Amino acid sequence: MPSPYEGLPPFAFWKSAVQDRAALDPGALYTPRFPVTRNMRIVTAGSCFAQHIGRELRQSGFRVTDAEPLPAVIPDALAHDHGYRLYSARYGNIYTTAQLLQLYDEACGRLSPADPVWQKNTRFYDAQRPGLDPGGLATAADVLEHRAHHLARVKDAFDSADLFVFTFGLTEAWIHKATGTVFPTAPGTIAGSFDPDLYAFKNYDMVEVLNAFTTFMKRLRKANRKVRFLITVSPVPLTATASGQHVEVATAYSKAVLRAVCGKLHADDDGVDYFPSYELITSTNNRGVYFEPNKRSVSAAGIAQAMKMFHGAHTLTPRVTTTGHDHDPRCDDAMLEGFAR
Amino acid sequence: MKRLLFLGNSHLVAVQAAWQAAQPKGYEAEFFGAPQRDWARMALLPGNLFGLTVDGATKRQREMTEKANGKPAVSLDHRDILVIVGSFPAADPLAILLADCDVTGLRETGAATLLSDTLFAKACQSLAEAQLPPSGWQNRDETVLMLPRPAPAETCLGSTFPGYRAWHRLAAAPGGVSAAFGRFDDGLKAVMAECNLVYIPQPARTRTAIGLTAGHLLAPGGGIKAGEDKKRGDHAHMNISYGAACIAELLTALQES
Repeated sequence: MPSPYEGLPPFAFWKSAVQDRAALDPGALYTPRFPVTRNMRIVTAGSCFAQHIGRELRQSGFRVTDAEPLPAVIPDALAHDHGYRLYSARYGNIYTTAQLLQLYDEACGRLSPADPVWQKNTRFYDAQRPGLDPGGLATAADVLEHRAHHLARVKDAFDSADLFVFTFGLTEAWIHKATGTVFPTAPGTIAGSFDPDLYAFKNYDMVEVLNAFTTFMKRLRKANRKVRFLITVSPVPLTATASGQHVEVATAYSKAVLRAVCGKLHADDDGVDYFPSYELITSTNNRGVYFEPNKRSVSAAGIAQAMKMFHGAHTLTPRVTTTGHDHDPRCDDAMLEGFAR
Repeated sequence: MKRLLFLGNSHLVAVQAAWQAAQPKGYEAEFFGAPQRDWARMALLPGNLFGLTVDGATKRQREMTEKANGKPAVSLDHRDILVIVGSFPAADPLAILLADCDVTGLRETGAATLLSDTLFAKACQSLAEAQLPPSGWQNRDETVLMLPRPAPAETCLGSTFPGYRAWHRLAAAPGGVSAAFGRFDDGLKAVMAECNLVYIPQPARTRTAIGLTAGHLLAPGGGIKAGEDKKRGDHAHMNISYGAACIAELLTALQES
């Protein structure tokens, strides 16, 4: 019997696929499992890297849902500051699969998150998206009214999607101890206050991340049988970790878990495709040029390269040149840098 | 005797006709205007002039401007009051915003987007700032009055032209629109005042409940023509009665300033 490696294509070998590849040549990293077409209704969600993907898809002529649209007379900067035009609804960054599942369950009326309104001075904030109303709202009742409106829009958007694009961002989160309610930011960072008796740090493991996403898929498919999933892992390292480990070690753990979950989802479910933006951006073949000088934020060139790979794999011609632009994604976790000594 | 200089695009016509009919005492007025496509090529020029820019204007535009005004540019020297007419839309951007958005405590129509009161205020501020004239008009020694382009006439509701979609939406769901326009006008007045500009809102008596201009104020020849209900048509230009209402507001503002 010959070796099972004999006859494998060049991309299967590091030497031919990476070592001998020209610098910045993205290579053939992505072979789509199913086509993504411009008439698909696409919903995007995930960590702040997903903002790039959603925007680039929209600019490339894809039908990306905007369930809470603002008219063009409002400039992007103001819209983005308030969470508009970032994702398919105004949910802000969804860093963990637990948060995604919780959002959909809440939109379907299956649960009510604990501690829904946070306060800062005399203003009130939605604890599930505290960064989206800079300055907060006048009353707690206003927060709940806006949340109810938002949830209805989320349900419509998710239930009518043909393709759900989700970027896995983090494993670390803060939860409400008694109920397990997960928050996108630590209480006290943007609003609210941190009480160690009420809240706890949580670093989700692979099983928990996987279970949350498979439960989400199962529940969404009950309402929306046609939906398929395109999943990615954010290449953006953690801004900060509360795990007690070095932030690089914590980042490696987090990305390894998320990447493993994506591999499992892709292997087990024909309705799931994996887009290797993580691999493209972090490849040693790129010598780090797809990161900004802070070695964390993905550069415009990196985003453009990822979208080029996406278009190429789906044999689509971009309708608008992906500019790479100077868009600054809204990342709640960036606020944590303020705590660095 | 106060010396006024009116500057404007095609919306200047109604104001000029009304002023010349009324001949208000104590003022000496001059008018300098051009259709929008030519007006867009005009700017403040060296020598305290306003007129067609040398680089941007065509020969035809220079000829037309000279024919209409007797000169390609007008001097701003020795003026007490400058009145800029029709250079900014005021109403339309807000109509577009309100067509697609509800506002907490102000407007509830089941729109896809619900704005907080805070964001609505910021949006109005942003829309107002977008309507400021170039910096050369700001903080001048003369009093500078700003008259907006009138809102479209209510006859536009008979047109299916997509440009009137927002107004159709407001007509179908008018709740809170009037109050929203009031807040916007207050905000625009404040934004302009910070630049030493006096904003003269479109007179309330010329507007319908949803902010359109009353149909009887449309200039002759405007409105829906037979078989042309899908076209833009002219629902933008108003008659001398509209101009008279503006002049009344303007004179009141001058007395108060």
